[in-house]
Amino acid sequence: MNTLVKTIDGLNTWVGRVVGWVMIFIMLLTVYDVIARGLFSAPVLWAFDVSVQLFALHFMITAAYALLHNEHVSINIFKARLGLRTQAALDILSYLIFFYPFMIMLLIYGWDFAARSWASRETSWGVVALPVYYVKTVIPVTAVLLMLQGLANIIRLAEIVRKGDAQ
Amino acid sequence: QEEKELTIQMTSTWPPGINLIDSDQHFVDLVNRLGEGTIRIEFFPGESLVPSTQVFDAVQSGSIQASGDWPGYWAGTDTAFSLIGSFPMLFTVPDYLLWINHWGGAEMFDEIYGAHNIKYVPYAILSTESGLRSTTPIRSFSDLNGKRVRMSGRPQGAILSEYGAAQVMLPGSEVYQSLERGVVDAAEFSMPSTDLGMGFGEVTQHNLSPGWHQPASIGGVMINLDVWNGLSDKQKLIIETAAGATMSWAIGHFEKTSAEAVRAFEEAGTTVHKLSDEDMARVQTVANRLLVEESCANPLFAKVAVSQLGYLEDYRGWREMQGEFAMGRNLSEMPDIEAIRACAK
Amino acid sequence: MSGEVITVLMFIGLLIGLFMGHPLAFVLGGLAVVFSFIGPGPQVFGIIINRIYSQMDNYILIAVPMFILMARLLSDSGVTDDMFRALRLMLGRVRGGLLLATVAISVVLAATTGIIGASMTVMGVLALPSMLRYGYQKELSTGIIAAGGSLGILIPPSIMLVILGSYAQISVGQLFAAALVPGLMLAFLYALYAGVLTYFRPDLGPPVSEEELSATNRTEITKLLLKMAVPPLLLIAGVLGSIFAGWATTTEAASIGAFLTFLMVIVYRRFSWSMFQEAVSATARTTAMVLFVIVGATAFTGVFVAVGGTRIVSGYLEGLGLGAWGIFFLMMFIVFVLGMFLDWLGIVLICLPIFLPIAVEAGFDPLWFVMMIAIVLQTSFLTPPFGYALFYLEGVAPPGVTIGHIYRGVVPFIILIIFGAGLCMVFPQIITWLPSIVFAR
Ligand code: NA
Ligand code: NA
Repeated sequence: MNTLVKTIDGLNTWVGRVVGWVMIFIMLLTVYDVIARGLFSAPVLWAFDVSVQLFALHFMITAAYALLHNEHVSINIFKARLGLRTQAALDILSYLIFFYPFMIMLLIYGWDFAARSWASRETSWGVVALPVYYVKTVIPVTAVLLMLQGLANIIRLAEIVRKGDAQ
Repeated sequence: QEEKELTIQMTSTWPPGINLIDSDQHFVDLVNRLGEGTIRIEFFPGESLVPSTQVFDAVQSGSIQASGDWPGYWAGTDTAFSLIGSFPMLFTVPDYLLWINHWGGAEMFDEIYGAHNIKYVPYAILSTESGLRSTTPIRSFSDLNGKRVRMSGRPQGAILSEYGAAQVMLPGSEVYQSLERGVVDAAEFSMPSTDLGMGFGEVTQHNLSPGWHQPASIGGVMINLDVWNGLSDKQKLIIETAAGATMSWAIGHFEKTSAEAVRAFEEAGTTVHKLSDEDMARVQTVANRLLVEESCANPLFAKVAVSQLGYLEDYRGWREMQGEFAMGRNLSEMPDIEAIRACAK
Repeated sequence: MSGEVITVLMFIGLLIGLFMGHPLAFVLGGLAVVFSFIGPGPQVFGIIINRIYSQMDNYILIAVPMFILMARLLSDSGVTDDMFRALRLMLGRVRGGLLLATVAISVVLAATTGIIGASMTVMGVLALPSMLRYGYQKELSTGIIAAGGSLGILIPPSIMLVILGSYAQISVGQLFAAALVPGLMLAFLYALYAGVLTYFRPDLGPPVSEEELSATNRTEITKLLLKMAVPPLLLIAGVLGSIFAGWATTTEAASIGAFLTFLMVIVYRRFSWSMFQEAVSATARTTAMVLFVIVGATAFTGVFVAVGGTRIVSGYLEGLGLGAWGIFFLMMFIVFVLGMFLDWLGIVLICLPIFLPIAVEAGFDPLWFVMMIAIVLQTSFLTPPFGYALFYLEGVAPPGVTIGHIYRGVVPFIILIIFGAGLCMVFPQIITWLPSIVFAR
C-alpha cells in the first residue's frame, strides 16, 4: 500500500510541476502577440485559441497536484475540535459522499463528451480551426488523476484511523 | 385518442440581452398556445442553464431536449453547418425561404443535423447584417490591412486574412469595450437592431456596408432526435406550424426593428460607407473560390453546395427575367458548380 | 420531490459538507451529483459537463493565474519585504507610523496583484513583530493587517473582479475602474482611524525609536524607497494603464504584468531557478484551487437552475413585499452573513446568478450592484468563524498574540467597511464616477 501511495503522490507531483510551466508559455506567447501586433501589425492568429486551450489543460490537470498539497479551500475550524481518528474517519466519509460521486460522474460523462467530439473531429470554429477533442479529453484524464490522489489520501487517512492518536 | 400533455425543456444560444432571442420566444409562445393539453415548452433563456456554445452538444446527448440556435456556430463540428447557417456572398432571405421549402433545403437540414442525432426545425431567417462597425473609417477592403476584426465564422475569417486582417473572437460582453478602447479596430455582431441594443452606436462612428459576411442567417430549434421520434403526429404538426408562422413573423420583426435602428444610428452620427462594386465583385470571387475549396475538403459540404447552387441555377432563368425586381440578389458570377459536382461524387 | 424541498436541502447539504471540512470544490460538485439523482435525473450530468467545459473555454479567466504568478514572484523573491522596510523607515517618526505604513504597503501590494494570502503573510511576518516590539496595541496591529491585506481582492487588479466580470457579463476593465475609488476610500478610512486613534492615544502606537531612525540617514531612505517602491508602482501603472487606455485586454495586461515582474525580479538580482520553479508550481496549485471551486460551483448552480431553484428563491424574495431597497438590504445582509461561513469565491458563484437578475429587475445599475457586493465581501475575510485574514494571521502571529486579540482587533474594521459601503450607497458616484470618466459610459 505504501508503494501505491508513493507512486500516486510522485505521479501527481511530476504532472503538477511539469504542467505548471504551461502558464509561462502562455505568458510569453501573449507578450509576443501584443508586441507583434503593436509594433509590426502582425498578430499571431492562433494566440487566442492556443492560450485558451492550454489554460484549460493547466488548471484541470494540476487539480490533483493541488489536492495532494491540501490546497483546496475548506473549513477546518469545526473538525479541528475532534480527535485525530474521528477527523480521519470524517474525511474518509466526505470522500465517499462528495468527492467520489463527483469524480465518477466527471469520468463517465466527461468520457462521453470527449467521445462525441472525437467522433466529428471537432475543431474551434474560427479560421484557425484547432482541434478541440484533445482539450475535451482533459476532463476524464483530470477525473482519473483526482480519483487516484483521492485513493492515496484515503489510504493515509485509513492508516490514521487504524493506528489511532498514538500515531 | 386522449394524449397526455408532454413538456419539453428548451434553451437557446441567446441570452435575454440579445434580441435574437425574440424569435425563440415567439416560437415557444405559439407552441404553448397551440399545444395546450398536447405539448408544452419550458423555456430557459440562453446562458441560464446551458452555456451558449454548448447547446449543440447538450441537445445531441439529450441532456436538454431542445435549443434555439444559429447553425453557423457548429462549423467546428462539420463545415457544412456554415452553408445552412450563413455563407459569405451566397444566400439571401428569399433564397433560404425558397430553397428550404421547395428546393430540398429541409432535407439537407435533416441530413446534417441528423448525423448528430438532432432534428432541425428552422423558424427564423434574418436578412443581411449591418456589416463592420469601426472607430476609424474603413471604406474599402484595402483599408482592412493590418486591422484586428471581431467577426464570427470560418469562411469569414478566411476572407479577412485574404485582405490582411486578423480575425478575433471576443465574447459578446467584451465587444463594446474592445471597440471603444481599440483592442479591436472593427467588429460585427448582427442586425442593426441587435447592434443598437449592444451600444455600438456609442462607440463606433463608421459602418462598412453591406454585410457581405452574412447576407442572410437562419435561426431555428434543434430537437433531440429520440425526443422528436417519440412525438405524435399532432405534436410534430404543432411544432412545424408554429415554426412556419414564426418564420414570417421573424423576417418582418427583425427588418422593422432594424429599420428603426438604422435611423437611430444615423441620429447618433454613424457614417455608412458602401463597398464599391469592384470590392463586391472581388469578395464574390474569393467567396466562390472558398466554396469550391471547402467542397473538395468535405463531401457533405459539397452535397449541400450542389443543392444550393442547383436551386440558384434552376431558378436563374425566371429570376433574371425579372432582373432588378427578382426576389433577392442575382450572383454576378457563379461558383464553378462542375468542379464541385466532380468532388461531390 | 418538489423543487422547493430540493432547493432547501441543497443548502443544508452545503453547510453539512463544509462543516465536515471537505474542500468546497468537491462538496459543491458532489452535491450537484447527489441532487441530480434525487431531482431532475441523471440527464443533467451532461449539462454539468457542458457548464464545466465552458469554464475551460473562458479567455477572460486566464488573467487569474497571471495575477497569481505576479504575486508569487513578488513575494517569493523578497521584493515585497524590501518595500515594507523602506516604508517603515519613512513613516517611522509619526505616531502610529507603522500602522500607516501597513496600510500604504497593503495598497501597493493590492494594486500589484491582489492575492490575499501573499500580502497577508508578508505583513504578518514583517510588520507585526516590529509593531509589537515598539509596543503597538495587539488588537489594533492585527486588525489593520487583516483589513489592509483584504484590500487586495478589491483594489484592481483583482481575481475577484475578473471572476465577477466573467459571471455578470460586465467588462472587467469597467469593474477595475469602478473598484479603484472605493478600494482607496476604504484604505483611507483605515488610515484615518489608525491615525486619529494613535494621535489621541500615543500609547497604542508610539513612533519608532531614534536609534533605528538615525542608523539610516534621509538620503539612504529616499534611495531605498526609490529603488524598492518606484518599479512596483510603474508596474501598477503599466497594468492598469494599459487596460484603461485600451492597449490590451485584461488577460493581455495580466500576462505583461507577470512578465514585467519576472524581469523586475531579475533586475533586483533575486532570481534563482529553484525560486522560479516553486513560484510556477505554487501558481499552478493556487490556480487549480480557484478554478476548481468554479468548476464545482457551476455544477452546483446548474442543478440548482434545473430544479427551478433560482425562480423559487427570487419568487420568495419578491413575495416578501420589501420593495427594491428592502430586497437590496436583504441581499447585502445575506452576503454579509454568508461571509462568516464561506469564502468570497463560493459566495460570488452561488449568489451572483440568483441576485443579479433580481437587482436588475428592481432597477439597480448592474455595475454599481456588483461593486456593492464586492465591497461587502471585504467583511468575509474578517468575520469569524471563517475568515481568511483571521486564519493567515493566526498562522503567522508571534507568541503572545492570541486569536482573541485578532477577533477583537477586526471589529472596528468590519464597522468601517459597512460604513464605507453605506457611503457608496448614499453617494453612488464613488463607484460610478471613474468608469464614467474612463469609459464614457
Ligand atoms: Na488587487
Ligand atoms: Na468570514
